[in-house]
Amino acid sequence: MAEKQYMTVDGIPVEIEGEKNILEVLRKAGIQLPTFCYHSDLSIYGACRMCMVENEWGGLDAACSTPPKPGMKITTNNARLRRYRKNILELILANHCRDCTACENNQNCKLQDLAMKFNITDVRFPNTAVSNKNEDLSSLCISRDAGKCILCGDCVRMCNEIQNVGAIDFAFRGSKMKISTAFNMPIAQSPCVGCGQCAAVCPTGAIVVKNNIDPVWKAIEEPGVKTTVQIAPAVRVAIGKEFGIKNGENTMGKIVAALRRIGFDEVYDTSLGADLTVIEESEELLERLEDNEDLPLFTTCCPAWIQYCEKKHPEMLKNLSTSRSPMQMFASIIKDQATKSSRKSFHVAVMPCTAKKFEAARDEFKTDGMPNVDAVITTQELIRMIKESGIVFADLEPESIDMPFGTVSGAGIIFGVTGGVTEAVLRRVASNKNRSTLLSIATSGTRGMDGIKEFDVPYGDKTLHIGVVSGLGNAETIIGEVKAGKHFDLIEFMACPGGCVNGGGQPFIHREDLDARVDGLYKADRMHSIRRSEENPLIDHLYSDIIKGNVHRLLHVDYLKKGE
Amino acid sequence: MVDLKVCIGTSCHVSGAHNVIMTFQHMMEKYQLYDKVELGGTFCMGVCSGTTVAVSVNDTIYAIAPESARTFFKEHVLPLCQ
Repeated sequence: MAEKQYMTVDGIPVEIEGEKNILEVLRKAGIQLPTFCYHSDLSIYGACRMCMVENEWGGLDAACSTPPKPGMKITTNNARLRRYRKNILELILANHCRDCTACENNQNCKLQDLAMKFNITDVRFPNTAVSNKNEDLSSLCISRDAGKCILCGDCVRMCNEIQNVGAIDFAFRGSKMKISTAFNMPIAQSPCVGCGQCAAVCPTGAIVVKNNIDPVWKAIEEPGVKTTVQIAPAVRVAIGKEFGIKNGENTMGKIVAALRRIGFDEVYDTSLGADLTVIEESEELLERLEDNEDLPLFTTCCPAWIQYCEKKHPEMLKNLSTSRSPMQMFASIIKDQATKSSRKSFHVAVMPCTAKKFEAARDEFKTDGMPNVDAVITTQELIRMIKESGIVFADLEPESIDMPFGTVSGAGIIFGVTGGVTEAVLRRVASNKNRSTLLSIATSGTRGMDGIKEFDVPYGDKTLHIGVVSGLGNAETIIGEVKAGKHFDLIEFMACPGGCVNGGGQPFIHREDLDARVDGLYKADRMHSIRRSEENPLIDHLYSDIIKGNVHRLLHVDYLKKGE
Repeated sequence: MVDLKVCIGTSCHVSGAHNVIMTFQHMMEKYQLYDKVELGGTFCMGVCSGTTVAVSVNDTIYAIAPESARTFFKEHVLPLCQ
């Protein structure tokens, strides 16, 4: 057995267990150094210098970019380090818009948080920040404000390293440096796909989720308008923590109750749309397998992934499933039903996703020029609406969703996590419907937080080779393999690392806290008496009655036709 | 009118009766056969095998593998609709 190795932190020995940098050792030892630019998933940048520690010779090292060595002696907290950190904070604040009360990220800001922790009561330097919330209104998904940017580069590294999108980067040098698209063009014209991961990692309010709350309030309060709302699977496990409930707890019942109190007339679950997606996508997969055409089938639930495919790999669009996303399937049925009523209908979707705002505005999903989803609000925006209403979320008694769309399956709920769509499709495709098959699908390789998962499942006398990808950088890798001739039958793509639970519109949590959300969804699935989409009695009813004869018109879309 | 029934008894259910129903449903949608085929469920027709699903077409009973539902529909149901 190898001998244990130790370093000394503030006089206390701490074991080194293969950590890449001192910061990770310290976090293990119960010391949380302040950082702006450090994210465990991104490359080390060392820009903010907040994590400085003093070595035994009095020198200063950035903990994030110094590897731990056995016998190393460091000090993390003394008068000199505190003075330095305060100095850095003051310098950042001197070039940062300080209208905190009017900021989207008020009380949800690392800079604000650290300024408070380090007791910043005065900034000695003149404020040079120029804030402009309307700097770039082109994106439907995110808003930017350079006056709040601290140049930590988190967004740039997320966009380039993890998502392989490359929409933004540093421009200019020295004090003129800023984050910009190429040639400073509007972000909507850049390669941006709207995934919102930049907003998720931004420590301040420089990049935030586009706010669509106002039109929702307006519709709720307008007389004669019927407001309906659908709630995506991943929302239910991400909202509780913001209201003092355990991280990852399924609070669907409370969300339904809150939405009713806010004033929505009918409250539904997007998981039913997901059940429909399972049915349509499975049928498409079986058809393509039989005809041996356009394989692998690419899933199309994720709008950021679709934009990525359109912008970077238009030649692969034929592989996209023609099935609409769960949100759009549900919305087209709701809007189709609404045409039979004289009341004006306003349909809202609560999503973990910023890119859904763009999807809702696509021409493909409009009826007579009006979008089927009138407004998309993210989990973050719903949290704000609940707070604005004065509702004490934690105290709400759980309520159930409305009929006639009130039955969903567990398969629809796990759509919110990477591998969930695949698992749901495999439950439908598998011929054997006994319990052990259901359990073995869960262990076939669909689950887990790995960015790329690859596995085989038997189907009749064939073996299906399946890929599950989350994070667009990983999508690029697997598309490369497909182009090089590697065979896949089905590939699931989710733009956000880990799937929708980690969506750009969710309240930000660190990667290590993500598992609780994932577990919350799998737990909700286990607690459902119906685990397979095709066994949802409502599905039968929809196909034999409500959408009979209109399945293609309501549930499918052809992304290839765009621009024709 | 073609009378098409799929067994949803225990054995057929576990062997994928819903898969067969879903595929039949989609074939009817694809070829718009709602005025030519009536799809329904039924209980045990006495041909349980533990791996196949019992299907009756105008009272002729078949036991089919759910993977072959699409081919079965094309060969045994579609010709009756023309």
